[in-house]
Amino acid sequence: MDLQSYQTGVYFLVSLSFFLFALLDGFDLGIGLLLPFARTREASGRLVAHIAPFWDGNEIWLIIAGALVFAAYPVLLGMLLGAIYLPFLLFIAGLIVRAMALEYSYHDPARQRLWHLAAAGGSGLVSGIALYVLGVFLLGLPFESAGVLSQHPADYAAPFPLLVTLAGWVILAWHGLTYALSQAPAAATPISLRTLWWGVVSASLALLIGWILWLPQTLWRPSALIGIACCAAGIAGARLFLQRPGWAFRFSCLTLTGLWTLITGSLYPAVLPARLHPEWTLTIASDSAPASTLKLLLTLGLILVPIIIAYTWFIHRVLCRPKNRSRNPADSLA
Amino acid sequence: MLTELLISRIQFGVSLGIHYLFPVTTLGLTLFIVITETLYLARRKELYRTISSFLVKILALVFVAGVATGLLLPFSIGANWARFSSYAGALLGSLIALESLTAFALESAFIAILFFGRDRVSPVTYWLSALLVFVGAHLSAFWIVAANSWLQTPAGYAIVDGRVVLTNLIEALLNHSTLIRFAHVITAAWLTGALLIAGIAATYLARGQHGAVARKLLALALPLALAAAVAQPIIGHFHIMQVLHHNPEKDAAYEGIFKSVDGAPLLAFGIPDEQHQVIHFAAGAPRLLSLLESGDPMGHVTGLEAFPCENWPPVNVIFTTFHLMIMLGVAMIAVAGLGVFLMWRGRLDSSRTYLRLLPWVIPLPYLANQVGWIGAEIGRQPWIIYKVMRTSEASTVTLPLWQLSVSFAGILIVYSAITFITVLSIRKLVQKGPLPSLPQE
Repeated sequence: MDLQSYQTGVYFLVSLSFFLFALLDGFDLGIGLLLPFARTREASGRLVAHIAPFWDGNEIWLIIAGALVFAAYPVLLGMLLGAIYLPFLLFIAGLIVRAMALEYSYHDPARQRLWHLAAAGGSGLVSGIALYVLGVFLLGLPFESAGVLSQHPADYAAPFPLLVTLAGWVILAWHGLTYALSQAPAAATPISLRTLWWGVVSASLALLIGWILWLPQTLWRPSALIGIACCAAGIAGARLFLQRPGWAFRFSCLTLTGLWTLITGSLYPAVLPARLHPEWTLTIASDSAPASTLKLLLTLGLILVPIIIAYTWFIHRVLCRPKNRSRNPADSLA
Repeated sequence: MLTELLISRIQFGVSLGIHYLFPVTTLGLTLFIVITETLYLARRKELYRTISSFLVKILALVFVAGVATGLLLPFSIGANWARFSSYAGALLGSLIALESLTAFALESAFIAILFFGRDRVSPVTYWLSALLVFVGAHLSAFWIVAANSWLQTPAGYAIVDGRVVLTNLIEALLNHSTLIRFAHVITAAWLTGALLIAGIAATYLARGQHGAVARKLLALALPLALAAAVAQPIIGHFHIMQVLHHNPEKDAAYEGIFKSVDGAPLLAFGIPDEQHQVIHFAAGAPRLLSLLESGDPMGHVTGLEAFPCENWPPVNVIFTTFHLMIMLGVAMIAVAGLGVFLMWRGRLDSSRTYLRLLPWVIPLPYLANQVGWIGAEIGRQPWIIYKVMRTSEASTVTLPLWQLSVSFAGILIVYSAITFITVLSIRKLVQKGPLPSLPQE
């Protein structure tokens, strides 16, 4: 294989890790976003019980993705995090709050509702910042000069990232809700499935219009067309199979896969796209680690990622099947 | 003066230091969980299951605090140390990627079965999950120690176009200091876990609560604590010999040797005065350092004067932390030794003073871990990568002072809160005590 194939392979591996974070931790974050809508402590407790064993394993994909970026694109991480330092720390703070809140909702039942709301706040912060940054990436980042990002918050303010954030919240909430229903098909939901489905339709249309307005040039790539088709199929399929347990969640996964295809296809081969000066864009050619590192990452990634997916799947199966005695995962901790 | 560089250093050190409290406990607890689960599998006594379930509950609190305080760290290498991460990221990032792919993912996934799967999996699967969590935690420690050791004794790399490039993964991983430091770190973690468990069990026994559980815990923890505490100075000796060969300035500063001499003493106490190059109030064993380092009581020991001043680590800090660690180590040998002696004579139950003392010993191993690492990391200064890159050349240049100050204050508050909540909750859990679990259907 030549250098370019390795660069493309690792780009795909990094993008896959971010996608698995969005897909798996996506339903944790989505359920977090739904918590304020649950009217009673019992209702939010039921939602939390669905994700309590898994959020931590799912969050791993963010660490894996971050470590891969660190290894594969040495300049990127320093440049980006140095420029968006405080928002990045808020993002980490959100993850910290969510982690502590989910754990302590079991250990401190007296303040359970408060912990649930804290978990919701953490989830909102994490997904909000991640989605906004994703929007800024799609639009291109404000560079001051070659290799230097702008430090001014105003340069990062734009309608499109805001749209991505709002639409993303709705789509994540939908992902979380359909996940919860796949676990407990008969349970009452904090928001009606139909209402949220209409929310997803509106969010997706708004996103599409925004995309046409601000990023028309990327829409004609084959990946964009495939991605949009997958999204549409996911949304339509969820509506058609709304009553079948588990199917809405599967279709939601299809929607996220479509979005991932659209996003990765639009960004490739940039790792840090520049908005006004395309020549300053960092690409896989200008900021990749040497071939030996890429080869190592790709080899290990191709072996280990399927293994991790396999045991994650196994654990999910084991912990979601009916238990011998305990009724609620919470019981084994309380 | 608080410069950007200094704030970044303190911030990284403090967040790492607080974070380390939790994984070091996790390592110790997972060892005891595997031991009790193995005993349960072999003997099917309900007592072992009760103990293991109790330890798993503590682990849940410690683990989440470790995750919460650890998330920031890999990213802050990029955020605060941009020049370092673009210089050495291809190599260090690979090690961190390997850590998350091979170890952290394993630990985080299977720990779910420990926390939620007792009633859903067979005892063998549960035992296997405990083992995988133990393996994951220790493998994770290995990668991190390997990455840190690479900074102390870099190997398996080349510098191409002004960047560090990995040339040999095995050489980089198993560089001169990795294995001995891994042994030192893991032994310290097991000692920490053992003394934590012994301290908890002692409170029960002193109050006459949970007698069977407490006796079993002490019978497991005290001998292990003694073994680890006694092993540590031996491992430490080999570690120091490695430091002597590969980081001689650091070794001279550890031992407080300014002037090269024949027949150097092994100091047990002293206050280094870097300016006048003397150790005030020095007390120690004459000629012992020469004997330990060269096998000859009159052997030559190279002092700091042999090295250029700009390459000296801050002698004061690392001499003090190093000797504090040794004193704590000696104290822990004494405490664990006394405990094992009392147990052997069958007098542990009646030795109320000893049982009341044990909980107060819990902070000692944590303190020893902290000062040990402070000595190791400050001892690497002025280098971020020994003899390859200086710390002063490593930080992010674009970060303004006010942003760093805000982030440092925020991290300090959040990390302190996490520690406070975790310690308080563990105390509450301990007061509630281990609950006998019902036999599995």
